[in-house]
Amino acid sequence: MTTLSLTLHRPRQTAARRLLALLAADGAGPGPAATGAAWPKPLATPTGQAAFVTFYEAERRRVLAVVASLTGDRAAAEDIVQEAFATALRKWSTISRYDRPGDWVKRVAVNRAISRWRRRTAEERALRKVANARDSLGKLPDTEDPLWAAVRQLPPRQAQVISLMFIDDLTIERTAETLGISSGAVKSHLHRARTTLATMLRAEDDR
Amino acid sequence: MSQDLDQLLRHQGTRYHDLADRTSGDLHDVNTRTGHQRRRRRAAAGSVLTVAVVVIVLAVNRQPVTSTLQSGGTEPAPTIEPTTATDVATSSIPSTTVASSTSTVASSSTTTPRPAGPDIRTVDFKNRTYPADTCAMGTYEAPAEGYPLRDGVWNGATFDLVSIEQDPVYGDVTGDGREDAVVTILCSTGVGSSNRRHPWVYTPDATAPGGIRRLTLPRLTEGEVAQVGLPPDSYTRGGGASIANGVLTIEWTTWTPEDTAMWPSKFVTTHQRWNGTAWQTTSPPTVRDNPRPPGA
Repeated sequence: MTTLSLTLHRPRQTAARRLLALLAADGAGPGPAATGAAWPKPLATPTGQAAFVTFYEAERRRVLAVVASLTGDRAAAEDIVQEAFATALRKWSTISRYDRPGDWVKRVAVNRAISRWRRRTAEERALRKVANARDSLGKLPDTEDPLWAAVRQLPPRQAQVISLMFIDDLTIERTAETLGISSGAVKSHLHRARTTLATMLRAEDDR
Repeated sequence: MSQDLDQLLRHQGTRYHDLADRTSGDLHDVNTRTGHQRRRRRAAAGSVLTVAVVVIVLAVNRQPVTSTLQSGGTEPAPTIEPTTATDVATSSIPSTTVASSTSTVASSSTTTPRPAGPDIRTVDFKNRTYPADTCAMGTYEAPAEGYPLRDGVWNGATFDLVSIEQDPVYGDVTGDGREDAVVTILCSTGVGSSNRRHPWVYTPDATAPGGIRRLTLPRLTEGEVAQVGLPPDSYTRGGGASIANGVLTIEWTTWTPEDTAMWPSKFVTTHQRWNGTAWQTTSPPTVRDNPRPPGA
């Protein structure tokens, strides 16, 4: 613990290093405890920690963009992305062995993003019902972005497919790998999503 | 139409890339962003005021800086005493690895009997300097001089936040007939789920600086975790406290190894009393579920 603290203690740490330091202080999950319990092997050395930092810095922006498109809320997106990376850090022994650890983080993040968006939407609806006053709740963050707001109204899998393919520029195959579903399923979700969105856009144009 | 839609999705999707590019990647603005900014501004204003007060008081009384933080601008608010070596050693250990409460070693500063201190309800806990080991389980980059709270808040140079969100809870847990206070101190590093709540107990003692003394931090021990049937690597980030009939009851928010960071699944409740040297369990701990709502 002492060695780790000294290694990571800098006046202004990067987010990834702060995640490492936080878990070091925390003893959370399989991470190191203040008692000196061992880090997961890949993180036991400065080189291993640097590898995680590099991974975080390389992947974070893409994951954040995808999650933000699914939540429509920057703060929520940052929260979700950080939690996803924190989870990755705790399971780094396993995840670091994957061919694409970034895909794992992305999958965790997009699943959480959908949960968060659904919950928030439900809360907004319930509050409106109680308050019976739309304006009192402030605008939803979608008013300036009707197309992506429509994406967020799609069934979760369809929204995830659209986001991964059009925000992260993934192919159908990579999207399938990331979400852990078949390519055929991705194509199906993509087709349905396009149809729904096209209908929405036409309806918007007709107004 | 399909190609138009694809182009539109890509084109309008660039705003999310822009958003990601604009964020620094630091962890300061999760969950408590607005609160942080507000508190930071307030703290900055408070710092200016504090410096002014310190300069004036030094000029008049030639007292040490650490003893001149003001309480509400009128009443001297002494620094809470530095902890003993025992305190520091104990507090550096995470909650689940501390020995059972009956073997917790008391701070050497606790003596019995001790001269009566002030009525603890008159103490302004929200305007005091707390020692550097106050955030025993969590924050780092702790300033050597401790945490000078103003109006219950201290903001760190980076994103650390120490605050008292609720009023102290009062009751006699030391059995000396005088009320003690439980001050639950929130320590945060700015990450969404990193908050910890430390239920520190203060007792009146005229021999201590400021007339109050801090007892050792109550802990949820490995033994108590096992007693309620939870896995040994369950852990807590603190809890809320209450006092009734001389017993300190703490409900510890507890994560089992299967829990996500976002949702701790258990609350473990402990019941303890201070015996003059250590916290002693008065009745067995209990556990209850923290049901996860649909969609959470």
